[in-house]
Amino acid sequence: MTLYRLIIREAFFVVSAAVAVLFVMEAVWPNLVLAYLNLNLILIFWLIIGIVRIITAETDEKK
Amino acid sequence: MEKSIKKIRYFFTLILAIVCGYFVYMGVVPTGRITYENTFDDENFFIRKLTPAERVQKPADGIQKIVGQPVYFSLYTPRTFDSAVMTFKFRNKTSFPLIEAGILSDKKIWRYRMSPIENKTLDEMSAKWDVSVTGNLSLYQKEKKYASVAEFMAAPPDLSTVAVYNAAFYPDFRMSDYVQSDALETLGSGPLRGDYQFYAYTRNEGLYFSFKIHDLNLNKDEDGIEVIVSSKDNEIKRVTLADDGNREDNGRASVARELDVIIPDLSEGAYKIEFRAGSDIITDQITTVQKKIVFLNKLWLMGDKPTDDLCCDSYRLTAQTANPAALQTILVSDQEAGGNASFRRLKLDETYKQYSLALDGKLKKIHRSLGDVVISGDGLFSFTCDTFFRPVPRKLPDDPASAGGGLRYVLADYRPPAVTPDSWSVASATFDLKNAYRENGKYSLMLSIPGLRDSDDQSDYLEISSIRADLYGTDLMSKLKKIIRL
Repeated sequence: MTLYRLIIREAFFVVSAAVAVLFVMEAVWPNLVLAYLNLNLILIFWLIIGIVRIITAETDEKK
Repeated sequence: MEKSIKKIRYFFTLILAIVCGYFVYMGVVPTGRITYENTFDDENFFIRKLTPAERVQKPADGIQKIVGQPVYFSLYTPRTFDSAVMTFKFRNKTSFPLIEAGILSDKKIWRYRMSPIENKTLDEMSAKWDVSVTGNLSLYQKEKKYASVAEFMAAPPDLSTVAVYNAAFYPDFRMSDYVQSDALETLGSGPLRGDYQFYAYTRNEGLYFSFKIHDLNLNKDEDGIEVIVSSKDNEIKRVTLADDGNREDNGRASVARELDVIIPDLSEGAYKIEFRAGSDIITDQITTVQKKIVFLNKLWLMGDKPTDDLCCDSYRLTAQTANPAALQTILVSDQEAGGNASFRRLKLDETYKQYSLALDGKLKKIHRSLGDVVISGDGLFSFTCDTFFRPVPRKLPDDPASAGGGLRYVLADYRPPAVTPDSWSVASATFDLKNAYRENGKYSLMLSIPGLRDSDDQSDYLEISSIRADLYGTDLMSKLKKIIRL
């Protein structure tokens, strides 16, 4: 696994964790996150990085 | 490879921890101090946009034009704070005489605590009159008599020559010709709606008020009533009456109920009584032993064909009704005019529109024929001229022309705005947030610019370039110490 794919995989994990943590924070303390960050953007970023992760994983399997 | 994975994982986790820590830090505000600023370049989460939309233009180049008043905005805070210093950067090209900011302190009676931003009347006075400054207070004297504010407060002149602006000044007030009596009398000649405040004088008879009320149940809100008796801003007694139990908006009027406020032992003087209630509450009758009673600010009069005429000493009288059946012409005459009275007319042609009349500040009689009209003004009101008295100095009138007349002294808590090199004015107002109304993390604020109307044909406006909020509250260490001590 190349360093690039490794970074993608780890980034996907951490963005997944970020989505979970930030949503929990927002649920526990309303507007704590929303005041500074649009959670929709995080979700879109998560989706993009997830797609990249799937593509890179499929490439690895074919090899 | 394993080492690389760990390094990358630690790095990403560290970034996530920093991001989450930042959000928590900004939410907790451990220092107890934070600043938010809306520069009208973009939407701001903390200082929200000015509303309603028809009273403002769309911000352009970081400038928001206000074309009608009042305008409202919310201040969101992630936690509670003790005080806020709101700083406004504005340009008053139209020269509106008064700009004030206010914070909602009581939602039930929709009361804002106002603070000055710019007062052109005082700015003009400071150029012509003598000004002495002590602390936050400034004393404006037409002819210099007092060396300091303290000297003025210790031996104030005749109250009819004094006006106050944004300052608490309650000189000792005694009526030499007051005749006390224990005989109960009914006040006025018709019901009152919603909240009201009044001053009542007592010598040795104490205070006795019996309010006969009923609830219209036209709104869904709970309609509890609070009556607060105070002297010189110090609360003496608070009496409450719970809602009638019907919290629906079904219009089923409640049965008549009574709320008594009795304080037998009081030293001689004028006391302020505040009747706090929503607009569903009708006061059908007020019975009292007090012989001198004057109302402040506004009265929502309900009774048709009143037998009494209102008396007032306002510089500006305003009337408004929401009821088409209450459209009428209100007549205003001099108090002593008798049968030869020449009337000035205040014609209410449309509902929901404020009509006003400039007066000279002397005692006037107000004759109305129909109820359901809100009468307001910058002076005091009484139901008969015999019961009128003025225990406190009058407020500084909005209109600069009328302010000069009989006034010799103005006591004000006011600083003129600073002017930047690019001709913007910068002024601050400090608000106590502990007594402000906060809902869903938001404080409600307003900007008042009397004379600025969106419905008139004039193209006048006020430009705002930025609104900044400097918030001050308890820091985290003090909070923790307080919790540990508990």
